[in-house]
Amino acid sequence: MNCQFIRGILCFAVLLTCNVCIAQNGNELAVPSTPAFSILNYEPAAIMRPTNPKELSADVLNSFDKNGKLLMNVGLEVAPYWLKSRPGLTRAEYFNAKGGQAFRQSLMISIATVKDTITNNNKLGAGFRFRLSGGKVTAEYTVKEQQLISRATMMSVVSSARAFIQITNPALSLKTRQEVIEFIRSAFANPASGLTPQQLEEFLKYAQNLSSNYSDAQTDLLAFTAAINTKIDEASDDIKKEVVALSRKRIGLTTEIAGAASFYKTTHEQFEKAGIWFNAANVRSQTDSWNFSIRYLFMGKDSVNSNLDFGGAYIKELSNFSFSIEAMGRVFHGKMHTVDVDNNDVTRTDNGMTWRLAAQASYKIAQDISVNLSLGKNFDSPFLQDAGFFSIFGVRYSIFKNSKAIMPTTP
Amino acid sequence: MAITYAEIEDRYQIQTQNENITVEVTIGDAGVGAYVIFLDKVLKASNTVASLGKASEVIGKRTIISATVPDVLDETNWTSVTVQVKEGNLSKTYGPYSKQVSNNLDTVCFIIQIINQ
Repeated sequence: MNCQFIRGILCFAVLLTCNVCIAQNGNELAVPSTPAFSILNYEPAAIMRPTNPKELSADVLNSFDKNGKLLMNVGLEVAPYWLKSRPGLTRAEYFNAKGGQAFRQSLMISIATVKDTITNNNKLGAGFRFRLSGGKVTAEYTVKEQQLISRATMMSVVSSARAFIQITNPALSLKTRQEVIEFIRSAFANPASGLTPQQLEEFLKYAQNLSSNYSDAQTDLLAFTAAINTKIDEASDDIKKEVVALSRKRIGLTTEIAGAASFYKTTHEQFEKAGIWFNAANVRSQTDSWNFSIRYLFMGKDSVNSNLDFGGAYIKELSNFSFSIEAMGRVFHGKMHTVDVDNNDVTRTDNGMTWRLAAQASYKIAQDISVNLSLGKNFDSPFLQDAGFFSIFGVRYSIFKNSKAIMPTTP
Repeated sequence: MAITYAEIEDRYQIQTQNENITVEVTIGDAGVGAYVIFLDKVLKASNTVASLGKASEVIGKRTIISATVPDVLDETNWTSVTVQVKEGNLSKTYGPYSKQVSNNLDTVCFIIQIINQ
């Protein structure tokens, strides 16, 4: 890349950038995926995600030092409902959950601690997030799920041979690789299996390729069936990933509520700020959605500042291009301690309303690289003189995969 | 993507002579999965209720249920299977059998043998 080209890009970016108010990164109206981290503006390096009560108790104990003091820069995310197995919950019940069940299965509690390196304050944040409705899966998801079920059926047939390998009854026992292959082949070919001739061919290919690696000893026969299943499973990886991804892309109405609060821990426990978010997203199709949000943020300590934000957004997402436009109103109340001309303490109070209007566009150049443009007017601050208009042009490159959010984010 | 095998053996005491014996499988933990049901070496059904027949057709044989459950749910690594044998109005539940996988996208294969007596 020559210098003139780089200079050109820099000039273009400078011309576009009038006034950077806040970093534009996605939908401003969305409920934070991890409210405790969001309220602290910090994502801990170590995040504990216990999946059973034993892990939870160990993680809680590990959060304190030998003197019983809470460790800093750690995070904990836990879904209480999923700390134990839920054998009665079917896939259909999970997807169609409403009200109390939707709340229970989506409740996520997050806690984080951080040491503020500027003020030297230790801070603790705690939050929750849950859904009251989660939309419906798409027809595309249903197709992928059926494909996965079909792959799992292949594995089930192969696994069933393991039972017959270990049976001592000579009439039922499978004693050689050839008997194992023939048993599985006949089950694949049985119409009751629902499997296709192509799937039978795939099985036979794996069986023939692997057969020479094993003997007819019972342990080897078990290993042989395990190796065939591993091949089928490996070939199913993409389908599994697509099922996971598509299960998050629901259509219809999704409603989410989140809340969080942060506290100072350094000298004595003192409230810093709290927030509550409500979001209703109506996803009309895989590419179009409407988003309505209300959030209330309250900050205490030296100054009191509270914002009630409300607004809506329209989001269009195509394969490589996405576009969103959002409009928000803010009712604010601010109270700040200051001094008058005679150096006497006075309290300045500001109440009012302001608004924000923003348009964002993003074009995906490659899997992890996108070009982004944001334009608009941000909220006016009661304490800062600021034009409020912003435009940001940039290139976003993700080096690492973002894996922090367990819960799917609002579309 | 690891595969774990959970192999279970149990017995079923046939209760009636004339009722049809059926086997139902439920995959829990909001999982996606598949299963096949054998009576001895005969495949009776896949991913649906299996009708095994009356007592005389079932007694002394083995019902083998082989279920495969890949973990495709972000919220949990639990997988589970419950088997219900029904005979008219009578029913007996086996399980739930639960297994927790180490990582998302890992798979559990449950192989449940029920000897019919």
